[in-house]
Amino acid sequence: MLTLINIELFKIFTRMRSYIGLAAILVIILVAQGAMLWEGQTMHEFITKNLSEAFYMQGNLVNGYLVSFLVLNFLWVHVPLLVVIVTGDLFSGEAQGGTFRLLLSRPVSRSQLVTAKFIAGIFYTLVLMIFFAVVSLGLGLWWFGKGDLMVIFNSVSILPESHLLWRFIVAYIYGFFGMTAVAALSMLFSAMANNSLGPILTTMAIIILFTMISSFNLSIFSAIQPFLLTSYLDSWQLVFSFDVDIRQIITDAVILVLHIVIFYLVTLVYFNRKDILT
Amino acid sequence: MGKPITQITGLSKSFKDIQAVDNLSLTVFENDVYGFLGPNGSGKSTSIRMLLSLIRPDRGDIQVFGLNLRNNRMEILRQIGAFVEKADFYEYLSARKNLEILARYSGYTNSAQRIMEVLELVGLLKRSESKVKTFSKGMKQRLGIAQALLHKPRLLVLDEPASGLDPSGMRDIRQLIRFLNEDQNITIILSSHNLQEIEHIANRMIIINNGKKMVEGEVKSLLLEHKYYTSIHLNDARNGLELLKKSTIPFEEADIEGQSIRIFCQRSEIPAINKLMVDHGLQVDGIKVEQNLEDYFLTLT
Repeated sequence: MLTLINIELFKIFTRMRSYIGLAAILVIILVAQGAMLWEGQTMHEFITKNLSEAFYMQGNLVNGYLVSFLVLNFLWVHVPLLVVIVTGDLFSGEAQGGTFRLLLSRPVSRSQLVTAKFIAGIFYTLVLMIFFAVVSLGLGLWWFGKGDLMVIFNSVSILPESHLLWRFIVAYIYGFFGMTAVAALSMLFSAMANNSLGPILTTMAIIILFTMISSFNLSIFSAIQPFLLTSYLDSWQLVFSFDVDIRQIITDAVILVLHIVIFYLVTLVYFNRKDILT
Repeated sequence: MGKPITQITGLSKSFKDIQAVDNLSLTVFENDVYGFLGPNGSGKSTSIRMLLSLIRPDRGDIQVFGLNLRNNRMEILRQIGAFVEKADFYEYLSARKNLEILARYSGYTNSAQRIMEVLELVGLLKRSESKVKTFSKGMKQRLGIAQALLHKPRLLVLDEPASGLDPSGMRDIRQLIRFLNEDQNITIILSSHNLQEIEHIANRMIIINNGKKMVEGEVKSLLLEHKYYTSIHLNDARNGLELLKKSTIPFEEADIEGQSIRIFCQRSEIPAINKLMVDHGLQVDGIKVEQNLEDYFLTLT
């Protein structure tokens, strides 16, 4: 089993496309944080303009934590695409390339192959998330320094600097579970397809559709929202509430893990019965 | 004839409403080069994929090395080398790296020496570090055979290994198959739609069409007892045809095409036809047997 995982990891990390996600994250964060650094005072005024009449503000408000938080907010919607570019191709790439014929006419258990691909796909997602966290937070703190974090959701919360690092770590860990669930969904579609593009587009279409349904506060959608994966993808934001509802975060994380397990099991059953025709 | 190494009984597979393989039975004996013949779409590849457990049969039983494939898949595949249809590899990796990965899938850990051996065997040793995407089709076909030999199989399944190769490439593959069979005692199942290719190389064969077995047996006896279109190129075709009609040589469907007589006869009659013409002072410029599968099927149906 370890051999199969090693081979899958080798295949992932020797392909150019695996580095597209990492490069994209680096470029986007560099551009976003670079622009914030360039704009400096303008950005400070933009953020505080509505609050300056009600609050007296003191200290480094535009700091590394704030820019990392902003990057996290706008990038978490796009990270799934970067994940599925690789994970959505793990099975279908072999089918399209004809290499399943080579692998499965050897003494390789199909169940073990599915498991190895899932583990490798999850590992890639982990690498992507760690890279995202390190670049975003590391660059933010290096360029902008430390300070308290002002968060505006339903109300304005000022989170003290000493409480921020663990909140970011928990948010990234939660984000990893969310992205792994997306990766698992793309691997399920990948196992069903014989071309690379189909599972990537299908996964993204579903994520976009479900995100819309999850976001609309309409009674017609409220009945199905609890069953949608996307309803749980943004629960990392709860970590930045003043009083963190840790029970809710754990519950949502467990639901994400359940999604991952279900996608894995369906892939396992499907792939064991699949005829290799390509 | 050795002991049976592969026995397929009542194998069937359909895709939606298309019956790809229909109640197919065959036996391959130890040390055979077993020709698996049929036109494109006849069910050859589906049958071979079922033998390799790439496709699940709807019905039927497959025994390899005396073991049932359904219950002993891993044990059986450990002793089979396969090249199925096209030589597809991880194009972004070198030939050596591809073989290293495939060796590890087969359970080989210290494969470096074996990889060099098989690359040398197929004439690709000098290109071992080249990426597969730089390979020609012929080189990929040879690499395809190399990967099938990696784990020293007892049974080699080759599905159209000479497909798309030029005549010299086809000859190389034929020589390699002969070497593997005669020198290394590997039993070989060779699928092809080319009757001449099988005739040159196989000792036994099966012909299938529309997923059904049409005939199975020794290649020589099957080819001798069936009729072919034969063209006899003469200086006087009309006179030659009259001679044939008056003779006792059995033939059918006589026709004149330019300077040639085209008849449908058994191959064993050809020496007598030649003698008849020469004895009557006609000049025989050539005799050509048209051994295509379509003609062969005409004799079977």
